[in-house]
Amino acid sequence: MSDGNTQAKVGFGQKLVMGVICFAGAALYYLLFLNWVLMGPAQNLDYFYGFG
Amino acid sequence: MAKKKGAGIIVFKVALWYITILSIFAAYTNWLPQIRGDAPEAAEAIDVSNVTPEDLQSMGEQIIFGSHDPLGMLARGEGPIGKGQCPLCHRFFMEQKADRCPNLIALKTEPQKLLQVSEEERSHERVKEPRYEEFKKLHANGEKNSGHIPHAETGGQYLIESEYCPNCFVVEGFGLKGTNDTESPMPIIDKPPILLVDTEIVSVVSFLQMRDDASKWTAKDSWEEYFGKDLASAAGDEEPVEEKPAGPPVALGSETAEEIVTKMTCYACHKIPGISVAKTGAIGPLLIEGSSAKRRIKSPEYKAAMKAGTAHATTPREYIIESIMDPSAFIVPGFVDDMLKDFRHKFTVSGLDVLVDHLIAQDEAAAIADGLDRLANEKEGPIKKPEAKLETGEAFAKNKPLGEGVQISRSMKDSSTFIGLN
Amino acid sequence: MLNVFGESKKKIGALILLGMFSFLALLPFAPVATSLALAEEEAAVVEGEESDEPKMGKDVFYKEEGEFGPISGPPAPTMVYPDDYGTYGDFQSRTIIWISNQQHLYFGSFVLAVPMFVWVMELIGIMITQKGDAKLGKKFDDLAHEMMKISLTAYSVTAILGGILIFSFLALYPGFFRYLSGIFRPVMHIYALLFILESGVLYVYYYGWDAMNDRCGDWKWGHLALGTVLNAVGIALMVMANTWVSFMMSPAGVDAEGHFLGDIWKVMHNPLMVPVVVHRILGNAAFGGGVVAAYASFRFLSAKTPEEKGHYDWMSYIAMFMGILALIPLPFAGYWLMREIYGYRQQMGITLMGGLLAWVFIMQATMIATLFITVNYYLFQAMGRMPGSERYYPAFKFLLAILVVSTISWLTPHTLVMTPAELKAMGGAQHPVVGNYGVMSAKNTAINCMITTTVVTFMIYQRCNVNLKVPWAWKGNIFLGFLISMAYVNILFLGVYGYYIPANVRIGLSVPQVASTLTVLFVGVTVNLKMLKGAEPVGEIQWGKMSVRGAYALFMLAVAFTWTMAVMGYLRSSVRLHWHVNEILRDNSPWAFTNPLGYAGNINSLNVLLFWTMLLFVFWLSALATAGKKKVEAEEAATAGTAVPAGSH
Repeated sequence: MSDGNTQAKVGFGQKLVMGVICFAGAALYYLLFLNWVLMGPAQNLDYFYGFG
Repeated sequence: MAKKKGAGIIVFKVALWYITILSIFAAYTNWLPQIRGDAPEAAEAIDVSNVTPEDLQSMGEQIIFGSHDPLGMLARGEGPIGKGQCPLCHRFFMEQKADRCPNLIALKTEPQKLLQVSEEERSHERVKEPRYEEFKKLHANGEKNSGHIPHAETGGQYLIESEYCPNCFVVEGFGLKGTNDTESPMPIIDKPPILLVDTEIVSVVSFLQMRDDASKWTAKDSWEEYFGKDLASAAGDEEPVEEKPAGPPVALGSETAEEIVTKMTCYACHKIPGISVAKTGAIGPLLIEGSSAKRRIKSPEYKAAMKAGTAHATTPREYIIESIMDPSAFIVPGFVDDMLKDFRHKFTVSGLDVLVDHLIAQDEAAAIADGLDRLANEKEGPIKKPEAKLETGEAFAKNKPLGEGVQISRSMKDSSTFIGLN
Repeated sequence: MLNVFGESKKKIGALILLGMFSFLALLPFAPVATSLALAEEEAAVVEGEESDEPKMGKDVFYKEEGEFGPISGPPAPTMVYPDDYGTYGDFQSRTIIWISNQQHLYFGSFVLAVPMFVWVMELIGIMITQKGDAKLGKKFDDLAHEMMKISLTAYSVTAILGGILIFSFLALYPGFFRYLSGIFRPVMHIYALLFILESGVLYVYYYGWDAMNDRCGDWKWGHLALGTVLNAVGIALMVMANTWVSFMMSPAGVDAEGHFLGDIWKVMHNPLMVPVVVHRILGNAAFGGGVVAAYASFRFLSAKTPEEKGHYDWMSYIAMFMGILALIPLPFAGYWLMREIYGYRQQMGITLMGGLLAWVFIMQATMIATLFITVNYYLFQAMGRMPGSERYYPAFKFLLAILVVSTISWLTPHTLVMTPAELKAMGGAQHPVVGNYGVMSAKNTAINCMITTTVVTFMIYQRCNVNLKVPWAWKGNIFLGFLISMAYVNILFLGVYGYYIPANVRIGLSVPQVASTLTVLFVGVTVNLKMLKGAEPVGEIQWGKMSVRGAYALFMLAVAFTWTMAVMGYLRSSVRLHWHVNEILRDNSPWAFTNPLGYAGNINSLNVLLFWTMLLFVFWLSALATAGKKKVEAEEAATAGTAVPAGSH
């Protein structure tokens, strides 16, 4: 699926670097930051309305 | 005109499409399990003089599950829930998935010992926990929502208390979040929306106690001990109409102890002071529970039976009830397990009360007054008379029926006895 | 005419808006203050001569301050059958109320939702016009006008159905109605006044449309302000009606015997009022979008000219899009509502999801799954009219696979329907494999995957017919690729993790799952949009070339929305079990039981059919008017020599 971008061809190495950065960034964001922020401290808040 | 015609066909096709979709949805809903949630039945006017403990157990089952076949319902994908709504949160069977509140069954695979036994057995431990003392202190002036002060002393009382005042003791880990396990999510059962009446609550506790072992039933007594008053029938102030339950003879509360003993043929095996027909029974022990019950419970044999898990009475009353409901629980040393096992079906709750009241009032003095003594097999030996006086001839003659073997007369003065020897 | 949009005019418009808002905001308080005073007077009267202080009652919900209030009304009556109930023969009275209530709600939701869309459309029209594209701006304005027309007839039907509903209550549930109207008496007149206000504003808004546009162009902003007022009044009406319903579910402001304790605000602001209102507003918007989309689909199918086809294809897309915009946050609002229900009465929550009504939630799940699959399907079809989209077709099968797997997991019940022989073979009530998917951990995972997939489909739709021109497009693509795939990974990871932790911790896992979905939605769509800057279209969007399948998909969507509303209404009503007002007023009629699902499904389907039949009549009426107008326009255009504007942009 190409997006029809007609810019100059980008080298595979550059794409790989970008890929690694994005993968690491996404992993950090989702698996660490998001989960910790929303599960960690939130567990102690009374936000959970006292059930369970 | 052409436009209208075209539109007409489109309407028809779209209508067909709609009807198809709607029929599929409706058919699907009819295919899924159908559960009709009936409004709870009005509280049955349970009259304690009309029901046996087993009836109470059965009523409790109905209140908890709304059916007498909860396992079958679980298998069919229906959730058995009765007026009490208990299975919503509590687990009664392994097939359920309810873990919001303490489970009420034994989980043999759990590492914690307390979880390996049923709630009935756990209930006895709960009141002994230091945590219970903390709750007593916390609610010393009455628990906020129900007004009760925690004061359960036995397992049965604990179970009763849990219904009327769930906040009086919250099992660790099951409290409302943010309350540090001091507030329970369980509703107060005798208030809306569940609104069980006292007799219904007693029947629920009866079920809990009796499901594994019918002799563990103390629900009614526990209720009366906890509240310090008699359990009134749900029928209110009307005079309880005592119907004779169909089936084999049942001991009713309106009968006297004598009538009950006659009906139940206790006299065939036991001697009982105060009962004119029960003078000659020689198969079971002399029933002077006022004196013997306490002793029996303390005896090493009973303690062994308790350790083995067959016996569990802690008070004379419980001991007598246990002996009637489950005779195999403890056999008095020197006797065999010959007592009929079906008395548990034959006593109404108040009938049982009548008999137990009578038996607990009999002690050694009563036996002496009635001229009865223990059997030879009884370990305690003959009843010690108050004065150690030598038997006179008349006393001797009275106490020893003729033809009872060779007896050496102790009184040389007693010539009649001498003659009486054969 | 367009240049008249000067600064001063805009200011006037803004001021009018502000004025209207303030008036509306203050309006309810006057009567409420009066009613408070009234209530205090009554409290004194009720208590009579004997005590100086009125007897105080303990609120069933509010604690701390305000826990006690003066007893200012009679207790909840003990309903007696048949005295307090009416019957028409053996027919369940409850079903009559059910049908009339549901129809009123359907039409009411429709007339609430349409002005919301109309307002948005009109605003977009104004903004596009200001940016310079007058033709497109007018197109949106005309669309808004057309949508409003549909709503007008529906408004009368709503009122008629409301009347039928009230008569049904009076005839069949007089005891209950008496108690409830007694409690809400202090604010009943506000409800009536709001109706008058709504009618007035609605007619001026609709009939004054062209006048405000064309003749007095300065008044365009004023017209929009009127639209704001219309929406505000409509929402206020819905909120008021909602307070009755949520009071029945979770009463407050009364004591345990049902005595009103003097503060009408406490009664109205009962624990479930706000979550239900939020859920309803979003649900109404989604539902309204579905209905308008269905209307447009129908007109699309029956259109004779390509321009008309194009116009209605476009209209159906806009309506569906707005409906889906409202659909996306709807699960979150629903989740919040469930949490509030659990917080209010844990039993009620468990009855809903783990007890008597658990199977009904399977129906709700079916509806939601239908909705999401249909939306994705429609978007796939819609890409058929976007030249250049062929490049993205290979992705569809993966998206469809995710949807199908998620749906299967979403639909799996925890307990299966089995015969005793099957039960024995399985060794338990839960299937060793499938049983695992019947729990919350799996369900949350499934729905989040479905929402994420829908967002992805939409992102593809946004860019499918253009060639990207921004220099960082390749970076953006890689970024988006990982943003989306890692979101799926996280959702799955949390779902699997949930099986290994206790229930009370597992519940919290849904928050990061939802946050993952929302990240894809907000970040992904934003980045996607940014990437479209300066993009060169492969070809014009061919409005009117939508496949017939796509049109029928929109009908499916509309039916699914309608059926969802019906089943959620059944749930809301049933969760009260045998109470008219939860724990306060007991239902002592012979129909105090909760209907089994099959019966509910039948009545739901009947209600949906009834509604759409009535709606067909409403559409036909508005088409009549359009036909006449179009004829006039065509004649004028023919004489003027200009073509009627084409339907593409």
